[in-house]
Amino acid sequence: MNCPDRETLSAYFDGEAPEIGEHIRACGDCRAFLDDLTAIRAAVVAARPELRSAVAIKERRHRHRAPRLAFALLLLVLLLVPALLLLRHRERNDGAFGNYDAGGRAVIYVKGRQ
Amino acid sequence: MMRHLAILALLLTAATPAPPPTAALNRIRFVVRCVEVSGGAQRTLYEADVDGPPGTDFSVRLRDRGFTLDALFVNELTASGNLDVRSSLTTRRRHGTSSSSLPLWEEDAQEHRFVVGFDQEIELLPFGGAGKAGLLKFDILPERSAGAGPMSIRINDIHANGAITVNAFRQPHWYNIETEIDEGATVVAHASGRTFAGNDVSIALPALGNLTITPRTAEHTDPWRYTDITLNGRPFARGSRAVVCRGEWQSFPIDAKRTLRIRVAPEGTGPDKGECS
Repeated sequence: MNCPDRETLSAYFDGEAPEIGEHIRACGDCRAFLDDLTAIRAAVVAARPELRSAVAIKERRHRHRAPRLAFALLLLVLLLVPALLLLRHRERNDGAFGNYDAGGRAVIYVKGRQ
Repeated sequence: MMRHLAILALLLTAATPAPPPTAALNRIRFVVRCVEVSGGAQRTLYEADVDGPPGTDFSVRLRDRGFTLDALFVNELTASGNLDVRSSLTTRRRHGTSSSSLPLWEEDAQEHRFVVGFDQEIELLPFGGAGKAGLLKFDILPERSAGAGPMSIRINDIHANGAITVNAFRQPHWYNIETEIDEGATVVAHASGRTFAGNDVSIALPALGNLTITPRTAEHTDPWRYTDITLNGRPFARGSRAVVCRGEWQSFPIDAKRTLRIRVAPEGTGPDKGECS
């Protein structure tokens, strides 16, 4: 099995490189390496409690990634939808007489001469 | 004093032009005007005068990138001196793009018939109402006119930049229809009828059934005349043009012995006076 290098595994441990997640679920060696990293982090935090906040910040950063992505997607949709609607409207009647177009059905009638 | 008044009356009579005799107003002129109404002000974009003998038809066409209008006006002078106008309107409006990136259009077709006096006018709103730039309308004013010769048309494209076209033409309005069933050289059944272009006429032929015949109004660019025929409600011949052209008989075999023959002749034209090429 082609295992990712240590650096990539370390990045995965930090919440990055999600593409190797499937490999890790299937690979005992990599899981063992990640377990070691978890144990090391726990030991460090136990020995130096003041570092807990730094670890917590990192974890929080990972937790915040998903909402940020959702916000970016929402922003993209908000920008794209009016642009598409505008484009669609321009396609409807964008000729020289387009600004006279009320979008209604043609009307014809007889009236007294003015 | 009386002498002065008499001279004055004589002078006034001489100065006032005599009204032309009614018989001289033998033609009809349609003034077609495309007008923009915006902010209470009117601006004429296009003007055309169609002048010709009674029965002169005309069409108004608007071509824009996102909108087209085809309006046909078929006119007849009634016995009471008004105009019997049959109008057909077809509009097409761009309606976006399909998933295959092809343009989509919404189409609307309307048929109208109305009587118009020479003190009245026809108003056509191609867009149905006012848009952002105001209201665009066509005013069509019929007038009596005097003259001779073929029909004429005068066009003044002021601001339409070629988007508007008015065409005038003359075409048969009424059609005489004859039908018969031949068995060898013998006519075993005969029936006839008369109808206006675009309208159905139903003719019952013994031993065959009901024929519905519809001579269609031709496009002004198309010299041919077309006819749709149904027999007992079922399509029998569609878009049949030879039936009408030159008023010639056209034969349709029914079975081994019998033949149905139909002739649709424009009124006022003989077999050798048709307009088909």
